[in-house]
Amino acid sequence: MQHPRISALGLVFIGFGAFILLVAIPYAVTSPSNVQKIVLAPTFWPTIISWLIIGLGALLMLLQFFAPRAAVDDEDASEDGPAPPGGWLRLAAGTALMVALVYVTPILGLVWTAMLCFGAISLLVKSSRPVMSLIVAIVLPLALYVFFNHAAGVAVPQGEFIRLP
Amino acid sequence: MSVIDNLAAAWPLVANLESFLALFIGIVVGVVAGAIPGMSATMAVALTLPFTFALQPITGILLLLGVYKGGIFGGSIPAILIKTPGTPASSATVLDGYPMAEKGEAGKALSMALYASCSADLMSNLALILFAGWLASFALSFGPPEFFTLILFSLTIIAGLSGKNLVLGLISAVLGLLLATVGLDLVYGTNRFNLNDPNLMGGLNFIAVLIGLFAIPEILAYIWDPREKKGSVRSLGGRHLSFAEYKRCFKSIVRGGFIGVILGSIPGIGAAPAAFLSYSEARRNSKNKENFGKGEIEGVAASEAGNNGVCGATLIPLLALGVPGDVITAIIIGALMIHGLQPGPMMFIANADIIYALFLGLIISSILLMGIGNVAIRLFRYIAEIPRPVLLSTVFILCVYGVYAVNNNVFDIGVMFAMGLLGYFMLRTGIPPAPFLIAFILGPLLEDNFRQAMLMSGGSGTILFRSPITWVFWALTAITIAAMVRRGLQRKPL
Repeated sequence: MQHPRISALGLVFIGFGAFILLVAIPYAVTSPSNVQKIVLAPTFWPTIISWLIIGLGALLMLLQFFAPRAAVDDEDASEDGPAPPGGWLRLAAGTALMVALVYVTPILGLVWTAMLCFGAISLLVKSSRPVMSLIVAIVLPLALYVFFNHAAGVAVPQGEFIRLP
Repeated sequence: MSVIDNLAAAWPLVANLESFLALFIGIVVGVVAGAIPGMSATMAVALTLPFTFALQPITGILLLLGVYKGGIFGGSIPAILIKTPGTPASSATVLDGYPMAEKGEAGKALSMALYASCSADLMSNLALILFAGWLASFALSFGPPEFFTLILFSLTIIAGLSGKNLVLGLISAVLGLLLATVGLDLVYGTNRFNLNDPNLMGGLNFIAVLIGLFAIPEILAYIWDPREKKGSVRSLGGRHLSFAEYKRCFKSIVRGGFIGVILGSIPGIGAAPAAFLSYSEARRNSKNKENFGKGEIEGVAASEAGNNGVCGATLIPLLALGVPGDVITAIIIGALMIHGLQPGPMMFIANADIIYALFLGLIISSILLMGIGNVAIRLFRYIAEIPRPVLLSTVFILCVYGVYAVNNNVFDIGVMFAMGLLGYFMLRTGIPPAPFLIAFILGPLLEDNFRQAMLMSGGSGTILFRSPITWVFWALTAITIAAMVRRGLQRKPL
């Protein structure tokens, strides 16, 4: 096999398709009992898609299995290089930041949460212009609040502590 | 009504300050975003979309079209000055643009890029005006089976031509179709993967999916590796483009414009292949073919004409058939739907004034681009100086506000982040995101037309082969798959 990662991806898709077919559709798709034609049932389309995922996953594995060594190209070179120092840690922190934003926004409000997130990203990537980052971190969320709240009529979440006009 | 009557009726919608301002701001935003390596025209259009909610439909769409046009041209500036295409469509421009910059002729290369872009853009817009109405009137005779086969063909070609691996492109499209099934069933109104959550009853928010797939992965990629990769900016040089040089390249520009129009009107092909084909045709037919790749101005003209010739033409299938040919037109279809407009043949009857106002706006945008582009060329040094941490943090905050503004719902921000992680996974594994998004948009249409056809025939599949139109689309789908399999086998023999 020439691209173990792509073959593994094929396996993942076979597993995912099987999960949708055997678990997700029976559990999460409701079909009325009076459906006379199977092609009109709400389960029909997801079932076809699941089989397509399984089939394409198998095809992906099959093509990789028969691919000769000389034919290796750069199509999966994106992950071949070594991870940059601290890359996984930063990625985990970035993901945690996104999760936190969703849960903190109703408490702090979107403006203050956005300011904190801007600062956190700047810290995460070690911004070489901390003063500029700080200014933009404060001005940008406020400017967007003014536009969306007052010009576009969007009720931007205010949070439980400090309310903006 | 004739084309002239329609244009006359549409003129008042465009001939006002609001529309001109929308086009102007759109082009400025697009050129700046396109010129910043790491940003793209797609990301710029996606981030501008939420700002159109408060605008009139025509003004909002003109703003987006301005960003689109500006973004495609803007990508050529860093391609020439720092050998880094701002957008994939500008990759061919690097071949001769950067060698010209090395010779101290960057100003000349950029001027040629601008004039070739505007000339080809104008041709593309005229093609749109001439052919979209004709195609729409033809499509009025389409029923559900015809639309089903048309969408299936479009999805096949988009999936097959995106990315380097055909199977990964198809998987991406199929995953997009799966995501589109989330929500209440179209016919029976029963639950499908929505887990009884009211936030999921209407399906996933298109803008959250779009921004999540196309903006968040770029931010995560930068967080993963924040090392600067900026090249040195070449100076513009003292030599300017002469009319004689433009005249010498005119044939290549017209040829490139035609190539762009033809490839742009086929869903899924996009601007980059048009630019490369136009470039190679110019080289084949040029008297100076040995200079190509070493700083030949005709090469810059041909590649820019090719990629800009696509701009107007991609709107032909979008407006006439309701089928987006690439990600940017997928965003525009989303914008039209948000403003209560359904692209397709019926739009030429129900909203002909808006359609023709868009056509006029596109022509005006070509003229505006000429002026704005000239200024942007001179200001690029400052644009390139924007620090990436500040830029990407700004993009992150724009994403959050923009997605929230669609439904005033924090849940959508969560969807965007989930899609962002999926998009980053796709980026790392080489799965192209474009088929995913387009399948997500076309999925409900595909299923709806399929089920309507089945209702019409009482469940018989023969209805999908009922007319010569369906035969043509089935044949085109089969030919596309065969051609893609052949291409795959040539690249990677079994």
